[in-house]
Amino acid sequence: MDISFDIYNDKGDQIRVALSYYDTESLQAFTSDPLTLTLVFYDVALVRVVGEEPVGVKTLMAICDVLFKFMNDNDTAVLCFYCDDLTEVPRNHKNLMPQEYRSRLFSCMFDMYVKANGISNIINYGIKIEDNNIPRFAHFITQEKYLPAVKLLGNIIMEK
Amino acid sequence: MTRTITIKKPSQRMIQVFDSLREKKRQQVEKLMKKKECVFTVKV
Repeated sequence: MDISFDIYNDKGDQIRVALSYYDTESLQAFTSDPLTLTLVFYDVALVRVVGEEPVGVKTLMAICDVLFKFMNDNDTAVLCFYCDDLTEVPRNHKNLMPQEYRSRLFSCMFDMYVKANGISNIINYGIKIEDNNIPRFAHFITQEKYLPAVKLLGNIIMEK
Repeated sequence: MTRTITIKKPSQRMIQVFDSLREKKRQQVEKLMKKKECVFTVKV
């Protein structure tokens, strides 16, 4: 089952933050590393339900609040945020592609949140690939202690 | 803290992984626009 949070701000915007469990039982075929197998992966989706203008810092921080509380309650959770190009995103920087803007915005709000809250144990690990000159981005949010396991898994799956 | 790596020549397997993440995201967004399932409300 997905867990969703609807965030409303005083300008009438509504943003849905959804966390969806990845079925990773098949990971056992890739690795026997016990630490890696304890990790639980969730897809993060952010959907603008109402509103068309860029949202302010307060709303971005509320999104981070939801994600970090979830991380605190679920120690072995690894959040995966794929920056899609499926829909447009309200933005002032029209020269950036939607996926690039999403990646920058995600990293920016993450860094602002950890700085403001003195958090040092959670890492935003971004991967950018160039696919036929089109940039694609995925971010993995994990406790720093699990980063080696996440990297190991990534290397195995992607045959890097 | 944010750490980013860039892979300029991704393997075919890596592109496939990104394709599957994109497909998962597409399904998620479609589902989220249709129905609500265990939704919490946050007002800021």
